Amino acid sequence: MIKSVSIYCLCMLSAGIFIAGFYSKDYYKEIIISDNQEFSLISNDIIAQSEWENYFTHDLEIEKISENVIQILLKDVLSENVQPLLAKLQQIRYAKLHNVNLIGDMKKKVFEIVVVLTVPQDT
Amino acid sequence: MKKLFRLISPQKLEVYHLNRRGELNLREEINPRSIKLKRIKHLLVSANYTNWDTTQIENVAYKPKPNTNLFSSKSLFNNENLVTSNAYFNEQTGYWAQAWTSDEKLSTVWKLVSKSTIIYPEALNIVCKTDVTFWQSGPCSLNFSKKTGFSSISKNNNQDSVIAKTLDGFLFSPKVSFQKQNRKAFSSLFWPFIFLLGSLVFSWHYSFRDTVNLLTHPPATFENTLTGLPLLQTIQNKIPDGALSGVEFNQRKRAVTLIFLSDEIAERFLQKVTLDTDLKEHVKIEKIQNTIVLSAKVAE
Repeated sequence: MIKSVSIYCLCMLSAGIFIAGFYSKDYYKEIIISDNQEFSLISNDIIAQSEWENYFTHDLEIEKISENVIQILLKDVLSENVQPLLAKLQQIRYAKLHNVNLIGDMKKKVFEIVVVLTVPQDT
Repeated sequence: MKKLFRLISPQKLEVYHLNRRGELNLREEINPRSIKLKRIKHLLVSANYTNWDTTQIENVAYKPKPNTNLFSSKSLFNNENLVTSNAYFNEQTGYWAQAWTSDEKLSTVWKLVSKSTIIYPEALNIVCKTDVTFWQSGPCSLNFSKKTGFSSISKNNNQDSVIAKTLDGFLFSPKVSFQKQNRKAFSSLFWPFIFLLGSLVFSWHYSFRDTVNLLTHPPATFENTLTGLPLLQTIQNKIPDGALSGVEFNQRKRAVTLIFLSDEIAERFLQKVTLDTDLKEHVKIEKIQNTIVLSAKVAE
């Protein structure tokens, strides 16, 4: 009797752990998917140009200055797009914003934005 | 109607039907080597395979611990080779009974049947209606004692006594047995434990580790508000249209650098802002050629 109850309890516990494992995965995915800056937590993705382009919805270039410092260059930014891009820059959560340079091109009537960011080393 | 098997010797096995009243009815006699006996759940063994004894213990509160050998002084086997049954107390007679045998002897029985078979020494599990009934149990003839509630080896030398050759008509009352319960319990719990361990390892690697890390060590977040932006907004009216070629926000120094198209425009802008006493009070203004650096004054 005790043995049967023990086996039953162990099996139920194991099944519960399995279910909790799957539930926990869903919970984790939910947190990560809802975060549009999740890529900046992954060391390989932090220099992924496409990820940053998706974030800024603008063409850009990325240069890795050192192990944890990157430079993002946003070219041909129309004057009406400067404010939204500055807002997006201020919303960056997982990297430290150091320098933002707005350089105007009088002939083309566009701006170039150069951003320097530091990412934490444990990412 | 259940089947009950009785092993008398390595060559002799009897098959009984056990009715609801516990009465045994002999069905057949077979050679144990000729059939597969692995499915047998209950097996009676004759005195050929076990020893036993009964005793009275004055202390009525006595409760032996599991594996206690009540008759250790009577056993000729080494403790290492000795296998004892559970001690059984007959409440009606007040007698304790226990069977023992050698590991080797019991192994020969368990080789015939499965490890899960419960083995009953018949001297302690067969009940007769009277004291005068004798039966042959392997090499000994036994008779049931109403005084003890168990059977003992008959000392009756009366040649006229009838000794039953089988247990046909006798009653089976299970009390004392040998079983590999501990090992079985361990083996039956082994796989559930492995399953539990597997589920823990799988769940940890699959998701728990990431979730726990996320909850216990959330990623460092930064406040990236451009500190110079509000300042720029307050002075933007003083900057002539098309006068700037660039703006730099330095977060570390909390400064805004305005790069003018020429030194003259920068000079004119400087004159304008220096007239603003409120601005001068809170903001440090520096001019280097065509650039003007505005930074927050640090309180001394």
